[in-house]
Amino acid sequence: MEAEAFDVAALAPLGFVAIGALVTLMLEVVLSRRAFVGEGVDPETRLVARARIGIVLAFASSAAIVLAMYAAIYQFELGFETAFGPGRPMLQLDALSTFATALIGLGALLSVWLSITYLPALRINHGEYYALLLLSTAGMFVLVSAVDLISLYLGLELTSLPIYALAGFNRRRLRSNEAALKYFLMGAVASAVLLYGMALLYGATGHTDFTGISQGFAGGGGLALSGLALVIAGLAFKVSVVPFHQWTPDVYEGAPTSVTAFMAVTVKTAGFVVLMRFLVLALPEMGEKVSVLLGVLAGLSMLIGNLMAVVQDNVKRMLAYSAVAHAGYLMVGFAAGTPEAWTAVLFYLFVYLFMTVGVFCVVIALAQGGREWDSIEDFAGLASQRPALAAVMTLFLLSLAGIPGTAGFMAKFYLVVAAVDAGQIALVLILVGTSMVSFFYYLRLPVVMYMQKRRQDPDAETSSSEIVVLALCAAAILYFAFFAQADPFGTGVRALDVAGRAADFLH
Amino acid sequence: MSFEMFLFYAFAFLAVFSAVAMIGFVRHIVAAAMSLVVTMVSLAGIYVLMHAELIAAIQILVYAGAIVVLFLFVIMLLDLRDGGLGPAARGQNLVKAVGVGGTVTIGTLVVASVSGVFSVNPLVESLPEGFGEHRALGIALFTDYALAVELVGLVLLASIVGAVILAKRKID
Amino acid sequence: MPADPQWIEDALLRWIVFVPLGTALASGLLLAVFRRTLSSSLVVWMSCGSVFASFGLSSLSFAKLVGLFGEVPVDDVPPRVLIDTLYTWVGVGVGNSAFSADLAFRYDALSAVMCLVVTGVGFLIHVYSVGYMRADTRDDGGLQRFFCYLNLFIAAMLVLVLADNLLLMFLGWEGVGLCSYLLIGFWYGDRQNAYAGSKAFIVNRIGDFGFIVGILLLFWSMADAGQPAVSFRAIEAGFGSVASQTLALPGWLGGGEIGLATSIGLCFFLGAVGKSAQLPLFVWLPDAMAGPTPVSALIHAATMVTAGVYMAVRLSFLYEAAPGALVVIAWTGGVTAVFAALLATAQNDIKKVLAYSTISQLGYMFLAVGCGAYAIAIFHLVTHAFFKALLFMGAGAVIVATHHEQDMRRMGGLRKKLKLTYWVMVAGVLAICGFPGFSGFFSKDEILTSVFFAHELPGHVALYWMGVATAGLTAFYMFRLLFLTFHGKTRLPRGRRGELDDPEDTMMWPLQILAVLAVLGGIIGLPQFWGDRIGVAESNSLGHFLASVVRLGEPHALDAGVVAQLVGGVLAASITGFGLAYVLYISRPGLREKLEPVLGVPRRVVARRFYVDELYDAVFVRPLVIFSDRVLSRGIDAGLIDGRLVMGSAHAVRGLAAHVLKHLQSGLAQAYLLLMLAGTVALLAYLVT
Repeated sequence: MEAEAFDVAALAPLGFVAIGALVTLMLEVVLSRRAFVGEGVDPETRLVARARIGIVLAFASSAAIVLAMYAAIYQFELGFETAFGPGRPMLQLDALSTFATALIGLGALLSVWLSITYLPALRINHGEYYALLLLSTAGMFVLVSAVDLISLYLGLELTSLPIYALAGFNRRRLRSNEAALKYFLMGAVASAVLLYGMALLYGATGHTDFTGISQGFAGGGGLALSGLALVIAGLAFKVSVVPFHQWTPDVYEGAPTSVTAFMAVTVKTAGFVVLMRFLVLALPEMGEKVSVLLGVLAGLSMLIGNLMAVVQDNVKRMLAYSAVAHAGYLMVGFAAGTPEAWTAVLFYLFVYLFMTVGVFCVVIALAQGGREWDSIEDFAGLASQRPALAAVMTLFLLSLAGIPGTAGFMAKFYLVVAAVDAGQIALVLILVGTSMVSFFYYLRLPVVMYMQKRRQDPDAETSSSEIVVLALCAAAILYFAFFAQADPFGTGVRALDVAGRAADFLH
Repeated sequence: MSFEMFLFYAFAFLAVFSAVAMIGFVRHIVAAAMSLVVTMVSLAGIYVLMHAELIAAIQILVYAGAIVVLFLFVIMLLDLRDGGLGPAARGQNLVKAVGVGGTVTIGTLVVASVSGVFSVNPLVESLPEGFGEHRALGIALFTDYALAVELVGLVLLASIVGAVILAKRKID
Repeated sequence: MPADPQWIEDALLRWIVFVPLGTALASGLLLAVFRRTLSSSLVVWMSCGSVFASFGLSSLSFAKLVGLFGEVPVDDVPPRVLIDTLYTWVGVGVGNSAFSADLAFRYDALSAVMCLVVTGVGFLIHVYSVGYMRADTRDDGGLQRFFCYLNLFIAAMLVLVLADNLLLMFLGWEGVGLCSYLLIGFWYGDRQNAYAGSKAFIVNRIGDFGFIVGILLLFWSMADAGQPAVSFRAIEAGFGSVASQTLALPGWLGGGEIGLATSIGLCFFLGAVGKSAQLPLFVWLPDAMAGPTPVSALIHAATMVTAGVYMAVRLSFLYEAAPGALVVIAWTGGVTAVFAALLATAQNDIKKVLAYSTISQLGYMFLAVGCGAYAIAIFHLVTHAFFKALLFMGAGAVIVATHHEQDMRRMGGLRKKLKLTYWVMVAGVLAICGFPGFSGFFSKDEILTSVFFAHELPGHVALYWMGVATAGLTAFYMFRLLFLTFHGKTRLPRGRRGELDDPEDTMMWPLQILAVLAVLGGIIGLPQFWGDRIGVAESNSLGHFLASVVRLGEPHALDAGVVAQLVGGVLAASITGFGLAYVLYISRPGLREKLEPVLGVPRRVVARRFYVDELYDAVFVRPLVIFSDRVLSRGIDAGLIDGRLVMGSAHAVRGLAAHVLKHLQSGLAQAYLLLMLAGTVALLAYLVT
């Protein structure tokens, strides 16, 4: 059998992060060996040495991610379009996958920067942290370009396995261990459900690639539909849509905050993109029934997510439920299922990245003295102690709530317009109504930050890497509030157009 | 019903039954591990019926052999009295196992009957030449599925690193 | 747009907004990011200067606009508008439903009036705040922060009134809400303020829900008709084609149909109800008085709370097609006017009296809107801005002079000490009570006249009498305020009686300017009837000016007899109110105690605001929390989280692995899995069957 030519350049982003993962893994071993060659080093020196190694590793990972992003953006601009895989296509490299790759890369990059000072602050041994993070990123790169059930499944596992470990990285903390174990168990069940669904789909259609499934699917049939239901359930777990969301609060709270930020933005992006591609390619004429189903999931997620967030006293838990709610908003776009809706979903994911990373970055900036400051009372009086931090936190929260003047509003706006156009009036009403409810909990933090007495340790400082992330996120939120479709600096790039091009993969 | 069909349903029943037994019925954790072996072997039987002999062999080697043996080692090392399952837990587990197993089984049966699976012969009548042999499998893995094999490598790496980290004794 | 000669591009407009906005951002950035505290005089000059510059620019544009009026006959219908388009903000949709919204400011007659009020009165209040806040800031940087918020508020309010489309208007709408939230809670460290700020913001969510649904409904119906639009001009042009459509009501609302225009109008009105503190969403405004007094004057009297009225007038073309909505507006306004006036009579906090008075006066404005007398609503909005800002700032002067005493029961006899404050307050009280010739007289009289002649409005006679009763109650509570504060013997604690004096000049001269405006401000909208009497050929210049934006309506057939009847009615009510106040609080104070047993219960009910707050708490807030907390988190989301797990963590000493395993056995993970499985089965069942 003759092997076809490998278009290796197409796999550049994946290759960069995978090699980056191996390099950081090795680098850590080499550097640690050199640093701790003598026994009897006192703990303080070890800590400092570890922090130094951490910076090197973070730099190496950043380099790998930046290269991957550069390759992805380059491919996007070229209008790259190729199916990869000798013999049978496993990965489809097109505008959607390169867009999503760049987006996930950005999320991963910001998460790496968040970790630099956070890990030493919590006395977490960074060890293989960065390597795992890169491996997971590689998995998501596979996921967003998967056009075959096999690559989808492998991508999902490669995404998830490192995150299970990362969630348990703070081994001193019971909650972190518990988060890892719980996430792992439930993830395994979700994977099993997904696999079962895939098997049924294969059995019903005789294909594992999306286009083949869509041809085999034409007749419908109970077996294919059951497969579809199970696949949707498995993916819904990853993006924490109700009723597959129960792991979210426990894992968000238990995992180290930098890991929470990482999975909150990147896994969500990857999960929604693959779900989008699967639905569009495997079910070209998405029936009324599937649309209703997605609508019900959307409605439930918005309601339960927002209502549950109201009663949380831990910021990370609250943000977990808010993530469930946002998954619900995104599902509204899925229920609409028009090209405009896909554009809106992608733009929403883009904006969501900045808001979420920003919010978690503030939580990280508060961490000190070996513990997290993540209960609502821990934010008391922040405004008088660290006014800039309180101000950007307020901005991020308002953006999550979707107040006009922030990018979060624009994201919701496009989503709502698309949904209205598609006639999803009931979902839009739920979206608007629950957004109003969301002000209840988002505003609790500004209230304690601005209107209560100080609780923070006065010596705390925001590190420079955190300042970079915060400034970037805040600037992006303000910029895209007004220039989502405008181009004031003549760069020729309009955010919504970019998202639109990415969503154009249908044709 | 042909003899092969009979075998198929027999293996299928055995697989499901011993899976449910594993969580619900057995009193000792070693017995639970053994029921797992039964499930695995039954599955291997089904593979054989489907002419996937190589997979069947691997199934027995890897799952029934290596993995369950590993489980047994761990159980022995833990040195659990009382079979590891407390008397209170047992009753509870039975309820859960029957509940979950029942839900899944009934759900599957409902789906299967609605979708008309029962009318389909689960056994393949005609197969391409060399199906299920190591040669065909090898060629597929190194041509069409080369990328998948590479990815599996990464997945394994990730799981090894993750397992080492979480299991490492020293926290520093 | 330039194709239309009536639409003149004017790039100056953006600076009306950008100057205060830029100042706010600059000082905010300096303070928050660079921790640079500016000297207080620089802060003062910057912020007051920027608002004054904004006022100057507004006046320039006003002159330009008036110049345009000179070129074409006044009664020519097409609007004369200055427009400043920055760029296309959003543009989405395909085919029939494609639309775009510009980031554009529009300066027509209505915006002009609002803009001048906001910047003019805003400037006076800024100057006043300098004196007020100087005595009152706690930490350094506090003054800077205060003025930063204040400028931000002015900018947001200007966006609101200058917006060319609904989207931008919504930006301003939320912006003012946010700033008011920040300003109410300005004195942090005080839980009461924090609570009041949050309450204001959250109660407004309900209104905003209506506002957004209104926008969506409007957008959806117009997109359906092939004319999607969010800019006011395009909506006005295209609305005719959908105005007559109807919506089918869902079964649980009783079925039937409702006019599209009516439902959109009602949605927007819900937004106005929230922002302008009408029944039933008024509860936040009295609590908002916890903020500094200049904030109350600026936001909760002169500007932000009138945004609802402004919006209703801005969308008057929509309401013209929705008589049903107008009836609701008129009745809401009328009932709120009486209700709030009644509540005002039972308040002892000087600022709360004024807060309820504001609600009541806003009710008057909505009453006018409901009668289709849009120009008159704006007229009252302007005069109200003058006299209510004056009253608030006068009250602030009293509060400063008495070292933060707000309870009128502990004031009294201040007339001799705070002479200037007393006289400006008298001017304000007379203006609000409608003393003939004062500004409030004309605007209130005009409103009641329109109600009197609004024959198409169901129950307009009742509404008229409610308006008259409100006038009487207004006179009563305002004079009660005046008498309790300034007359009689002083009831101040001994320690504070000594060096009482009018506050410093920076606080007093804005008061004097406003006093003049409150007295003479009626001139701008002087009704033609009175204009004829004093020999002005073309009076009611405000009305004619606004005619380019709103329908003015036919002039009422007024003769001296009708006018005498109308004016007489109001005056009689007012004089009764005044007399009652005089008797109870000046000549025979002992009578109050004798009346106490008779009026005890109703008085207590009024004092507790008819238990509306308690009602809301019981009906909305508590069920939400209980539902989320008890039902959702304890029930559905495996409440074991709190109970078993948190308790368990306390015993974390006992080896990690064993511990974690124990928790897993406690059923938590299994419960999750079971739910997940149930979800999967439900999904399966739905798709397959």
